[in-house]
Amino acid sequence: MSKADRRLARFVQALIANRRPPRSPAGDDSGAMQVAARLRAAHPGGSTPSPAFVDTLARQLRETSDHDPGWTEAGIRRRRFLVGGLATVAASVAAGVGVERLREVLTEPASGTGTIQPYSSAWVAVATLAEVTPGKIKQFSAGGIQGVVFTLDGEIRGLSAVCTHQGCTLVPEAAQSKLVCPCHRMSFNLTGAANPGDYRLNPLPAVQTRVTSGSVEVLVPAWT
Amino acid sequence: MAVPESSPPLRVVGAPDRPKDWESVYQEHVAPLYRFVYSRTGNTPDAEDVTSTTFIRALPRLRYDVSPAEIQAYLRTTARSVLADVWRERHGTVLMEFDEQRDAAHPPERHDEVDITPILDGLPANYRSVLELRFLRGYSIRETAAAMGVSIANAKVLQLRALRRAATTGARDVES
Repeated sequence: MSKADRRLARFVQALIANRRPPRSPAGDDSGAMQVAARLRAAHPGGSTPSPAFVDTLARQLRETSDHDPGWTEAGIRRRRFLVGGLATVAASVAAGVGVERLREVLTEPASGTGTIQPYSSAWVAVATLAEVTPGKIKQFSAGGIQGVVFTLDGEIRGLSAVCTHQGCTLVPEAAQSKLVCPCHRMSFNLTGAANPGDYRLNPLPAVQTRVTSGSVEVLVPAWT
Repeated sequence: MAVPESSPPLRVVGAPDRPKDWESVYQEHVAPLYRFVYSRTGNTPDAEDVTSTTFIRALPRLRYDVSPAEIQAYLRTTARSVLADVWRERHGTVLMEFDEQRDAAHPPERHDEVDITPILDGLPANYRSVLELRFLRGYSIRETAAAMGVSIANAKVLQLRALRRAATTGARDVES
């Protein structure tokens, strides 16, 4: 069996054992892997969530919601209603907080995840290969995007370097493999996910990268 | 004819037939969303993770005064993006296109239960057998080999060839 065969066989084995498949490049077998997942999902008795899972997730969501009432729209309504009912100095302070929170939630981007896909785009060289060797993070500004490029798991990747909270530019800390926001000390790891902190933030959008004749290029909006 | 000022509004916000808060949205949608996600992951740990992440991501942005179908569409779109992240992270690949095309062509309700006939149709008989034994019945390689009357090494290779063929057949269907 070839290396690709062994990878695909391990993937299948995990599915049949109802385990999470191991991390491995799909190569040409992306379609075969996804077909395997579909087929396995069709076996009798697999597709109903366990009551324990449904309960645990409900509890988790409730805790998040209680901890941060602005978390959901219904939560915001509840909070505003409460605030409106109290005619004290404390209430006006609380009202300020409520309005602030409301604004924050409403201005949350519709989609903070995924990959930046400009309508009209161009590849722009932003780094040399030497600038993105493992352990380094290279900042760039191109086509209106402020971002970073780096190597993760042997792959050159790009991320937006704008904090998904209030838009402050993130500062790379290559030694800790993270991007730190100077505004509220939130940080993001190199997969783009926010590390736990005072705020619950969307992940950073990814920027597409490629390597052409020794240069790292990113796909950014084409300015006309 | 004058409309009396006290005429009731056409639609009352928070009308009884509409979900009013995230809890009722969750209760109504968690099982169908899980089925949708499971059909694309094929294993419980991933299905649970993706379902959790989807609700955590989607609930804060959901409007509750929209129809259940719109809520379902939003949850599925979010789930697709979470699934795409998992495939990209773990296997460096993109989600297959045929999902979106099929969902656009057929009402999404149709995909709650996994329909694998299009995958198996048109495969040679021994490919279909190996896939049915392995994936639908969960046979081990040894059991599959015994049931098919082939060697263990043969069964192992056969399942991989069958998957690869099924993947190309699926891709052709999309193009046609």
